[in-house]
Amino acid sequence: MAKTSSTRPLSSSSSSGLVPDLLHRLCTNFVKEQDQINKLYKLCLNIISSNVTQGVVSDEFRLCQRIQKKMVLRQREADALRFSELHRQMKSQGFVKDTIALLQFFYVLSEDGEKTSGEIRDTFLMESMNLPAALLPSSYNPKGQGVPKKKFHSSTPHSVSFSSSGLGSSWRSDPPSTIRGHHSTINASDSSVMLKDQSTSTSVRHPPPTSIRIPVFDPTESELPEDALVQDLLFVFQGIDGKYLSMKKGPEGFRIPNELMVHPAHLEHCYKLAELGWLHHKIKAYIDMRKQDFSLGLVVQSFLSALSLELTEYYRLVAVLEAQLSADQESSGHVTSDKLSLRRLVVWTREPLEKLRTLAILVDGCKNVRGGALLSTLYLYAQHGDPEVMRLVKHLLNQVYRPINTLLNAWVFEGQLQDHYNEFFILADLKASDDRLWHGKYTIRSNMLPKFIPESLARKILTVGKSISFLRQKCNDQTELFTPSQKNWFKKGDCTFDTMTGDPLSHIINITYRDTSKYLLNILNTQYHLKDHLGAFRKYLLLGQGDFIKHLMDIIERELAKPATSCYVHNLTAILESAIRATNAQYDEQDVLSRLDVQLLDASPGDTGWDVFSLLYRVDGPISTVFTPDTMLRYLQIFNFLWRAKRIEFILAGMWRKQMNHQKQLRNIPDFHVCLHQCQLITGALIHFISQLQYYIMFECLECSWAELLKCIDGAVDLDEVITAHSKFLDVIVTRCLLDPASQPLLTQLRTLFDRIVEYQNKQDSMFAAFLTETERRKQYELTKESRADQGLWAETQDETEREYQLRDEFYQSVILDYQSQFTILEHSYNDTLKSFLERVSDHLDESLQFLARRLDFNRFYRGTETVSLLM
Amino acid sequence: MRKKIKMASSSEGGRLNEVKDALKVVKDISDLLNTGLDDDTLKVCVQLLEAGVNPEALASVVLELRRAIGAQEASTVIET
Repeated sequence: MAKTSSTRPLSSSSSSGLVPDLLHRLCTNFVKEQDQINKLYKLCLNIISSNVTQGVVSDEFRLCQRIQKKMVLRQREADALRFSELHRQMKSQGFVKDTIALLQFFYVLSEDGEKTSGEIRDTFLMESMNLPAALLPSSYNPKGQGVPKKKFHSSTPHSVSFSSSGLGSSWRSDPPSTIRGHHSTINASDSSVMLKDQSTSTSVRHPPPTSIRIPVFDPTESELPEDALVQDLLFVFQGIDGKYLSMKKGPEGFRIPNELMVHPAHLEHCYKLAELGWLHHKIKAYIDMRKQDFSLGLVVQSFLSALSLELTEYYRLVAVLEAQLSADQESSGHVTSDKLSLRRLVVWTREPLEKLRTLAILVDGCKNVRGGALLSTLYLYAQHGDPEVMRLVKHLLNQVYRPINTLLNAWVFEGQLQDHYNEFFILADLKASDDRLWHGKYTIRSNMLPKFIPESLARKILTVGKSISFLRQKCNDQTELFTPSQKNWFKKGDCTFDTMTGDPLSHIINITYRDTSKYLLNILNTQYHLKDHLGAFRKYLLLGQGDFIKHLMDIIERELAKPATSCYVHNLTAILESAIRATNAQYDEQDVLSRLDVQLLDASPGDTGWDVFSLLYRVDGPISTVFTPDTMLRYLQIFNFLWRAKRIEFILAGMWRKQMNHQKQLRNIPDFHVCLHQCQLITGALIHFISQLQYYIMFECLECSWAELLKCIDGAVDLDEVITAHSKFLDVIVTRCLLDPASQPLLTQLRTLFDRIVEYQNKQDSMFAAFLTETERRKQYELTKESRADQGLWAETQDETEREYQLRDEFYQSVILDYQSQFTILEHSYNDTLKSFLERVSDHLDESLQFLARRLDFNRFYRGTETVSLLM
Repeated sequence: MRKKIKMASSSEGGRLNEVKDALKVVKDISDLLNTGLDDDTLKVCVQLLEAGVNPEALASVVLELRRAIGAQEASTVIET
């Protein structure tokens, strides 16, 4: 507050010897002892050279006026006249050249008779009080109620720019100085709006000069006059304890001690008015408590500043009232009709009372919330039936919304999250790696989502920022997506809560959302060939490229028949390469083919190459956002299933080929006929089963979902939709291929069926081997017979014939019948498994699986036998 | 102004009277404003101010001195 005077520099250069000398004399005037003189002299010299001023008015005319006014106020009109006369004399004498300095000197000293010099008032309060009435907002200016604007105005026209305690205290002390005296104890204790002792000046309080007449009320004498109460209330309004009304601890607020006599009507008014003080105190306490705590975040800070602004307006009203009061006292003696009465106060403070009440409610409601949650709370309070309350809360919202607006701007246009206090409704997981940028890094923090932003809009906002951040960081694409005018949407001066939220916000978000998403998808499709990679997955991992798969199966069969431990990736990779080169796959993009690779799963003992072999398609860069490791795992799972089914089909085809081949060789021996026929029947049933299954997998599962996926991707608006469509595609396939946990029993049965088929293949192979050996043996026997006959011998002897028949009979008994029974058992167990499989499948929730059951058992062959056996 | 002073200095007695008058006026003003300064102090103060001392700083010097006396008196009272 103290400022260095620039207008009156100490002319020590010209009178360097003079000043110390005079000072010394001054000291000797006061004290006699030499050592004390020296001590004081040093102190005085310090003070003088410190050149510190409080900024007393430096305009002589105005200073005179002020002094005179003060005298008039104390009913010393005669003195005022005499002063002006003396002043005029002094000027005309010309003895004192620097009259203004002298007057200032006297003025400060005279003031000091009433109060301790150098007291600093709360600048905030003073600034607001010094504002002329004309500057007051209309809402706080009781219209037509006779506030003496003119007088107040004329007395402090200069004060707005002055803002220092000198002026402030001068008119602050205009009311009878008793108040000051009575308040001295409170002054020392209260801290918020109270006067503070400056460190340089000491807190000596001189008793007020006796010449000033002080109106003292004796509380015990009679009822308290209304004026005193009004005066008191003006202090109470600022949360300061008054002479009579004082703040009690607890909820009851300001109370008048019982021993004071107050008119009941006055008492009621007083308590009604004292509520203002209580409310003010509450709000002020809330502000002060949080002002220093920056960790609460920007939103809370802006809320506090908005509250402070509201309080400032309130202080202006108090200032006006105080001006009115001092005007009343100036004109005391005359009975004026527009005197400040309690009743008037009640009327004038009605509006601010409502306002403060609302603010107090808000303060209570916003105690424990911060950031977006604070906005939500305020927004809820803004849904109020009273338009005044609504306007007030909206006004606050406008200011509190600003920090969020800034964050939103950076997020939507730059993809940057500058949320240092965790206030924004989008949360960045800093621990998440860049690979998870799209999936896990950013999430919506629902508790910080302001209520006026709907969930769907918030998701769009999230996507917009995420897309931009994705483009910048993953795709290294720095293209500016928005025009400068678009970027200024959030920066316009009027981007307050009213103008921004609701339709304008959703409009902006919709446009940015549409543009960024479109751009991102375009980049992914053109620059990163998202669709090509999807197609590659379909072709190679989901066995879409038939000729390639068939050829691969053909040439890799021998390698995979080995135990898993002796399969090597490099061998398999070579086979894969040759398969690619030999089929139409070679015409595919080089980029795609280079990503195709072989992977061997962890082998457990007893596994063959079939169990561990798997194709792999490597993805990296931005498209790995679509093909996450999780997705890759599902592709692997699906591939294994499809590969297994394909292998079974391949096996059965091989078996059928063998049957056809051996048909001619074996048909001459009637003993085999039954067994072979049985074989053909079983193979037929198995082929029927596997071809229906393959049909189902290829068409119902893959092709349908694939078509749907393509449709979804073409119509997708943002990357999220693509990812969702893709994962849905995989979901459907997993479910339909019975790979989901719910279909685990079904899958086990299917595996059993596959195992039966493999078992059957082995049996048939061994059967053919045995049959062929037998055929060979018999052929040999026949040849021997023929050669003997050619030589003119008996073709066969009795013994030989018998032995041959015995052999054949033995073969029939031991081998053929054995195979027959084995096949029967196999068929039975296969049929049983298939039956229960069919039962389960036909009860499956998925419609296409029910169709599979229908197709497998279209003539109720399997289930029909069941029912017949049940009937019997 | 300068001319007046020159004229005033023409006669010794007249000048003294003038100074006395002027000081009386100053003293009156001082009394009116309840500064509580005695003649001697006032004289020194006027000289100081004429020497260009900051009036507010001077005021605080006076206050400081008063305080010192007050403290001294208080201490002597306690001692006695």
